[in-house]
Amino acid sequence: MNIILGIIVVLIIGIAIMYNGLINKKNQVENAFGGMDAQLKKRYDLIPNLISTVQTYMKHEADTLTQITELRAKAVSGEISDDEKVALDNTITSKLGGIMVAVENYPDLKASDNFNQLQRSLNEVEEQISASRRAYNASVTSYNNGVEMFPTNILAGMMKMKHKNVFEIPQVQRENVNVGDLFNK
Amino acid sequence: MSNIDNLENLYNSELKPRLSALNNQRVAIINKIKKFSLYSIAPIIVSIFISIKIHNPIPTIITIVMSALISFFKINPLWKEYYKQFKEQVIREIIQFINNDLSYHPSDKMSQSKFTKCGIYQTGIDRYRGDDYVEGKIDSTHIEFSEIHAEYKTTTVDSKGRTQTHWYTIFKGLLFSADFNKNFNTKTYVLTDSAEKMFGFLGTKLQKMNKSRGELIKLENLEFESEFVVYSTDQIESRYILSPSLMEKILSFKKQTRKNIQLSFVDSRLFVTVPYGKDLFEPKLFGDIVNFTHIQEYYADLSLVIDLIETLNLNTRIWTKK
Repeated sequence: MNIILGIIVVLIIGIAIMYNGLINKKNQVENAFGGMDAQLKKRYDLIPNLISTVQTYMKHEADTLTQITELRAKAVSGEISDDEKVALDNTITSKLGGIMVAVENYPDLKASDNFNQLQRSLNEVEEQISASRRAYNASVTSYNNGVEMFPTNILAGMMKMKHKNVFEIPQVQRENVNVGDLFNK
Repeated sequence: MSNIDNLENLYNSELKPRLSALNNQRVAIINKIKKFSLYSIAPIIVSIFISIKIHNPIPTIITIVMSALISFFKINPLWKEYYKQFKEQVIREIIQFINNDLSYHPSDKMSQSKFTKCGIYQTGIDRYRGDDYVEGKIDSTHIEFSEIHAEYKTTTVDSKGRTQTHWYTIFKGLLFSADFNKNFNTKTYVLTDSAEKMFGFLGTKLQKMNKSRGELIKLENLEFESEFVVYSTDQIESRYILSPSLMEKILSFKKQTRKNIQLSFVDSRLFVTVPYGKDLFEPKLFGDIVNFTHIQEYYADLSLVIDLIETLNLNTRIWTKK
């Protein structure tokens, strides 16, 4: 009798540990997504400043600048889903990357202190965004391990926890690094 | 011309004549030691005879202690002068050769508070020594380093009531610090991964439970993960500091040194500890010192840490920190 009671107690403790572990992992993913969001907001805060600095110089890119302003407005409106947010963010990244490459054609702009400071801030934010994505991916990997590995997968199945996708770092992200190098020369 | 060729030129033109002069000082010290040993022999033999005659070891003990003391007081000033001249004339010259903007203070060291602040070693310190402090700015990056020896002691009392003190090394080697090229407010530690190597998955579990330096950070570079364990007070900022390229650079630095280097990122500065078994940048007493190989060794140990600025790309200033 005592043995059976013992087994039940151990089982309950085991389940509680696994349950808490899974919830912990799930919350970490949410927390990491929040961290990523915070970094993206930093970039949204920089965009108006950047646009106002460059638009007097960059006549040919006026369309792109307007598009970036619109995309930013949409992103900060807060009425979009997480997936949309990610897609929007990728578009903004690629358009900003394009602008930063185009700056090469405007030596006056490139030489201005104001732009220089903005570019440093933008480089920093981009690097932080990439860091937050890596943090997000690390938490998703740990979450997926919990969801798919035995024996926590049984419990995760009952809790309807599903595999999550890691963040794919878009191609433009890598190009941004080149912009940094260009600037450094 | 390669650096080694330049170094050889420096050796032939500047260092060799200085080393020859220093070698004379060294030989003089050795001769003094021989002389005092010889002078001690007769009194010691006599004292032994007296001790045997009177069945008391005290005369022998007194004579040995007296000869040792006299030798020490006669020889030590010579050694000190030789030591000082060697650092001033040879080590200083090599440091200036590597980078002219660096200043060298042979008897100074990185302060104990810096060693404690860097947080790589957490054991309480009972004795802290060091020398060969080098400091300066290379382009935009301020660096400093010195040799450090930090120890703790244990005191035990045996059954007869005698207390015994044992000294144990916490860290011996070079402590290096440099202004980091990115701003950050949190603390990140990159330490040697011994638990995971030994116990695998269970080791990781143990590391997760250790909260003394913040959370365990799992990074995506597998080779880096197998060499180091990373703790930080912030998941995102630690990755902001440890970019994929910096991880590669730290790995290549570790391979280059073939030592268990450890790093920390605190107060917007980078700290690196490079352990050494030997005392660094010290003159030799026995054996010829007029030798280019020795100079190459001093140069290799010094340039390894000074070139860390290049290796880790710390002069790349494309972020808000200028």
